[in-house]
Amino acid sequence: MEHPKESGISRRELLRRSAGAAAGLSVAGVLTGCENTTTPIGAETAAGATSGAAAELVVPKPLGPAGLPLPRPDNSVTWAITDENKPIADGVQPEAGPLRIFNYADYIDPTTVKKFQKQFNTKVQIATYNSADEAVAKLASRAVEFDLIMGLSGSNIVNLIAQKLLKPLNHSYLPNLEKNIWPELADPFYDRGAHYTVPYVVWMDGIGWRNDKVAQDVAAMDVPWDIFWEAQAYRGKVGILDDRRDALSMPMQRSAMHKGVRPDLNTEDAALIQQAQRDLSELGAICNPKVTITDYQTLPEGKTVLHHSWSGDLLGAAFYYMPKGVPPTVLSFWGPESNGVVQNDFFCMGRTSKSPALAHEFINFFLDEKNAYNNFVNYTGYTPPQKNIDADALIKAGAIPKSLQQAVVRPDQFAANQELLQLSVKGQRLWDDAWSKFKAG
Amino acid sequence: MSWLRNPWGRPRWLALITGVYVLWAIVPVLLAIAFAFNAGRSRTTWQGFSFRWFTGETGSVLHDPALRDALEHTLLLAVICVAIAVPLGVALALGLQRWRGRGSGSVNSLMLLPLVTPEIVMGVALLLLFLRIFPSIGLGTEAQAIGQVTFSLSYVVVIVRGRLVSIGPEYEEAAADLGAPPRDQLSRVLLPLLAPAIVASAAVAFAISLDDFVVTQYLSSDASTTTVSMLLYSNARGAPTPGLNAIATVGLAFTLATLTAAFLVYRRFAGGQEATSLATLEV
Amino acid sequence: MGGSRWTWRLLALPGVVWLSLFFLVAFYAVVAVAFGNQDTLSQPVPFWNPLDWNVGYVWATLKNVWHGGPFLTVSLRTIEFVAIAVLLSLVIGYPVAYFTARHAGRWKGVVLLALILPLWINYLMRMLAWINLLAPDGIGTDVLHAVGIEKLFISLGLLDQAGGWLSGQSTTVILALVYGYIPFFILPLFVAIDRIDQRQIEAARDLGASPLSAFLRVTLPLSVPGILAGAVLISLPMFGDYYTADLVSASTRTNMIGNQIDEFMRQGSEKVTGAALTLLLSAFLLILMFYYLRTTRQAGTSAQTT
Repeated sequence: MEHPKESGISRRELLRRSAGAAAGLSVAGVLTGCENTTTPIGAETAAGATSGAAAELVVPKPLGPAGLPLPRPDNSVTWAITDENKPIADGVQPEAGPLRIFNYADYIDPTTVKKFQKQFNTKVQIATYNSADEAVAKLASRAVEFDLIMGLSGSNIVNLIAQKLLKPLNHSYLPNLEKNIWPELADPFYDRGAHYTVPYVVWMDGIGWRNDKVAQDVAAMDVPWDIFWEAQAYRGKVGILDDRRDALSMPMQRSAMHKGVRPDLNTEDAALIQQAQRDLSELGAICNPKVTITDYQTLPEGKTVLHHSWSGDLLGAAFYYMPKGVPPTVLSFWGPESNGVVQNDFFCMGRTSKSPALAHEFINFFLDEKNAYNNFVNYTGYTPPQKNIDADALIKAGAIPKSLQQAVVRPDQFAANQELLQLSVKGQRLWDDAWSKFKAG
Repeated sequence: MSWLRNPWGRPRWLALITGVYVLWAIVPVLLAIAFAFNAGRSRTTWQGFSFRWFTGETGSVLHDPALRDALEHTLLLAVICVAIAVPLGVALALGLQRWRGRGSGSVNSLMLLPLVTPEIVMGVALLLLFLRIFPSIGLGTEAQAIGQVTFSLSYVVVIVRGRLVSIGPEYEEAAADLGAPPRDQLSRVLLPLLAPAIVASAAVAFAISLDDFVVTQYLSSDASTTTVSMLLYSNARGAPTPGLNAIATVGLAFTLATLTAAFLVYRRFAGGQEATSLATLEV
Repeated sequence: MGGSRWTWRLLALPGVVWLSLFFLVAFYAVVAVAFGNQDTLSQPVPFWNPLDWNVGYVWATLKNVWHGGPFLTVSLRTIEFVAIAVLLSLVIGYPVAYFTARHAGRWKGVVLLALILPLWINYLMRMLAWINLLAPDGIGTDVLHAVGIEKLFISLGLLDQAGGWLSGQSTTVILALVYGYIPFFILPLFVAIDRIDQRQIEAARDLGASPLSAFLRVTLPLSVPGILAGAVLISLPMFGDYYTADLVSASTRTNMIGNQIDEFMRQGSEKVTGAALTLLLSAFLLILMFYYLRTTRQAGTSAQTT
């Protein structure tokens, strides 16, 4: 039998031909003076910018795709409701379904969802995505259609609007919004009037650790972020979040805390971003961190003892992932009072939704006190921005240990910290390059 | 040392190295399989024997929806892969073997290329293909099946061609001399002679599909298109239960059962020598 | 043979169409994306017409490598890992293949079976087995500690700390690569050694060569094509490997070029750059294959004339 690896002649021919083809194509390219750019298509258009002589009187704010403004706390944006995309009328009966939802995996309590199915006599189908970018890209490709999209945040809203993917909401179906939700989130700066979005959960970036294995009292330190740079003793058991914005913002917060200033975690300043990357890369030599998001499993198991964490993961770990014999009191969380990262993941409705009234009912269902609480405590660990949830009550009820008090985000904490929001194309590129450099090791 | 004087004797140290290598290659997997039967949740401490991770109430291959769905999807893809790759591959092998004249070299090279292409290159290429050229198909089960067929094809062709070469043209010539039309020569002489190789290539395609990872992961759309390999990958670094070991064991059982069955069929119908050469096939 | 030659070509046609479509065209998609641009959602916009091609991203990637950027670091690291892994595979695999071919006698079938078995065990399962063993409280860690290998590795600088096999160690990644790919090396090696005509060795012995000399001057050179074939066979997929490093390390200090490409393609980053990197990787591997073809021809002829 002729061994495939011995058919040298035909492979040689192949190589000769492919070399020839490659040469031919590149010559063709060079000869016709091909383009040489790395600016994405559509990045330059600037709609709504001040024009004419007045333009030079204003420091221009960075713009997003299609020239849309990038919402910031000091630059709130109201998304218009256009004639061709109106919310549904009042009083429509909920449709039969099924309700198609697009969400992160493991990000909603299956039991509470079952309760909704029973109450409204319908079925709920949840499709999952692994990252916000992936979700937006899939939606933009129009290959998939959903009634409800969950888990996205202010860092994606501009893309969603620019790609015309959302249907406006009718608040007459959502009485629980005003009743139960924190007022500052019921009318957020990235979507004034909550035309298109309704908050689902809030969380913050912080430090999660095993208080039985880490000698230092992290929360008592002047600048708790320093623990990562002093973690030689825990080499190999340290983790950093595998998310470019969260991870790179951490050294920014640390140096700002040392200097006593407020950092801009949505900065587009190349020097600041590169300094953050250099600081982060130092950790390689100090404690060789893993770059993962599995802290909710590795901390309970002791595989990592110190982790840059999302608050909800620590609570989820305490509620659900502790191995037998290990009490949740060994977990601790610290989150900054101010100048740190907070985020609010929201509900929004797909523009081509076939069951809009049912979708509204679903949102209202999960804005209900009891359902939101069950979703939080029984499964996800991520705090819903409900007025009546407070950490002390939860500790008293024995639901969470005192060491995790900070993992329940409070409204004043939320106000004092910053959300990670969408950047302009150039700014995003700076963060991407820094991350790529960090990841190269 | 007597072996120095007698080169056709049996140097013990070579045997030792081989023995140690075989143990090193297989014992870790045996241990992983053993822990699939662990009564407790640990994957490193033995806590007693139990089938709970296979048939138990919670977290088992039978009852945990994540594990069960992954297994079902893996088997579905494997069946589709065999159903498409084998006919396509047999036809291609026949055509290639008998092709005379120009073009056969290029087609042969084309057929061999997937064997030497790194999986990530194939994954990236297919991902972009289904995102930009065939967005109507998009990502998901169909894309995964197509991707798997694409590289399984080469294995089928190589196996069937091997058998074709050893069969030789005499049987068809004899049939032609006896007046059989070409179609009959093919269906009533050649294909039955090829049957063992076809079965073997089907088994190989099945096994390759079961174990494939990169292409399947790149072309998956969401949680419903997860396979056993993807499950192993995403959970191995977290804090999985022995349920993961269990599902890996089940997958392995399927692969080995298919291959053993095919090997026996091939050996029964094709004679011992070709079976050995099949076994030494690089895959 | 009955039937016109077109029957056979017609039979081959569906397969050819399939491969052209889902392999060649797919690869062209990589080229078109690498020489294309992206929209503001970081989604690739391929430029199909070579006359429209935008060399910006490919150029930026090349400059990154040329000027010592992160891509160069990762590429050099990948080459280092693959080279060491292939070398180790050779050192471990050659004696095994030699034994099986020359000295296994009536055990040949059984040993062959044992050598083939790992090929059919899911790669990820084999890695999972090692993750279990090398966990801080795993059996493997304990054994390695007890036998003193752990101490040896620490003193050689190959391991950072006791029990830390899975904490971002290059050593673990390289050993995992060896474990994963060596079965694919041993088999072609076995075939090559098996094929060597016993009589050539006998002739050398008859002419007065010692066993060692016969091995070095007859067997070894004749097995070189097999060695090269095996080396190429495992280095090609190894260059594109990302899951091994991810599973046993997850640290940025062991990221290979495959990890970088995976980051760009699947982690929602710039797919254009990912495609450009894929293109460069493929070009590099093509050169490797070309070199292999040339050396096998030379090695084959020289071994025969010795």
